[in-house]
Amino acid sequence: MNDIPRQPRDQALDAALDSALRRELHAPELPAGFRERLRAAIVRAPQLDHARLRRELEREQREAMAALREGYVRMSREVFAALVCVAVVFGAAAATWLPELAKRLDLDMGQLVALACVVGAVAYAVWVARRPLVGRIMRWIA
Amino acid sequence: MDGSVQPVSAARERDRDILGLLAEGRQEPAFALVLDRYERKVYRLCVAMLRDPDQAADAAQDSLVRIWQALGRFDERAALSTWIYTITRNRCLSAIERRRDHASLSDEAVADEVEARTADRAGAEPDDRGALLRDYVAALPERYRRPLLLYYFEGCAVDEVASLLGVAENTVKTWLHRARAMLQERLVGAGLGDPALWLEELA
Repeated sequence: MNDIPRQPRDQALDAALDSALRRELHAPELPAGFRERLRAAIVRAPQLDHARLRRELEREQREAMAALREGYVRMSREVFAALVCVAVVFGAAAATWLPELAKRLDLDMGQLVALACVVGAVAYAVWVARRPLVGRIMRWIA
Repeated sequence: MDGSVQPVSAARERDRDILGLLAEGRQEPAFALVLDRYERKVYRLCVAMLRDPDQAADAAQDSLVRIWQALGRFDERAALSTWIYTITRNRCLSAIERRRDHASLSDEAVADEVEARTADRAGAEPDDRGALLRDYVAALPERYRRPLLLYYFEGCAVDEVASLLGVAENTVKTWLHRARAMLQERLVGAGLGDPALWLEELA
C-alpha cells in the first residue's frame, strides 16, 4: 500500500495490519455454476421493448414537467401575495406620511400623486424587464 | 460521484476489441469478452456492496443480464468499464433499498455486535483471530468498508477501486487511510496486548 498517504502512529502496527488484511481479505470466487445460471437467465430475459421504454421515459418527463410547472405556479402565487402585502404596507405608510411629505416638499397632493406614479412605474418596469431596461436607460443616459 | 476515475482513453484502449465487435454488430462475441474481463469484477463489487454472497450473486447476475440487454446500444459516451460498473452499482443500490424494507443492521449495530463477540478473544487461536479481524472490517462504516475490501480484492490497485466505485483515486486513498486508522484504533482499544504482535501471529 505504498501509494496511500499514511501518518501511522506505529509503523509496525501499520505494516502488520496491511499484511494481515492481505492474508484475510481474499477476492471471492464466483459461485459454482454462476456462468451457466447467467446464460439461462439471459435466455429467459425479455428483449428490451424500446417502444415501452420510450413511453416510460416520456411519462417520466411529463411528470417532471408537471412538477416543475406546479412549483412555478406556486412560486408565482407567493410572489404575487408578497407584492400585494408590500403594496398594502406602502399604501398605509403613504396615507400616513403623504400630507407631511407634501408639506415638506411644498407640493400639492396632485403633484405628489403624479410623482409617486412615475416612481412606481419606473420601479415596476425595472422589476419586470430587469437588466435589458436598465441597460437601455443607461445607454440612453450615456 | 466526484470526478473521473481513470483516463478514459486508457480504458477505451483496453476494451477496443469489444468495441470493435460491437461496431460490427457482433454482440454475442462482444458479450463473451465482457464476461471474461468483467464478470469477476462485477461479482466482487456486488460482494463489497451487499456483504451477502448469495445476494451478491443475484445482483451480479441481474447486472450482467441488463448489460447483455443494453450492450448493443452502448454509445461510448463513457468508457465501457465505467458503464458496466455504473449498472452494477445501481443494481446493488436497488437491492440495498429493497433490503431496507426488511430488518437490517445499521453500521452502529454491527459495531456493537463485533464488540460483544470480541470481548475475550485476545488469546484466541490464529484462525479465530482472522475471523475477528474480518469482523472488525465488517464493522467499518460502509463508505470505508467497501473501498477497503475492493482494494484487497483487486490486488491493491487504487485506480481499479476508483473505477469500480466511480470516484476519484484521491477519494479512495482518503477512505483507505481512514479505514486503516479506524481498524488500528479498534485493535489498540481491544485489549489485545501488542496489536502488531497479535496481527503478526495471524500468519
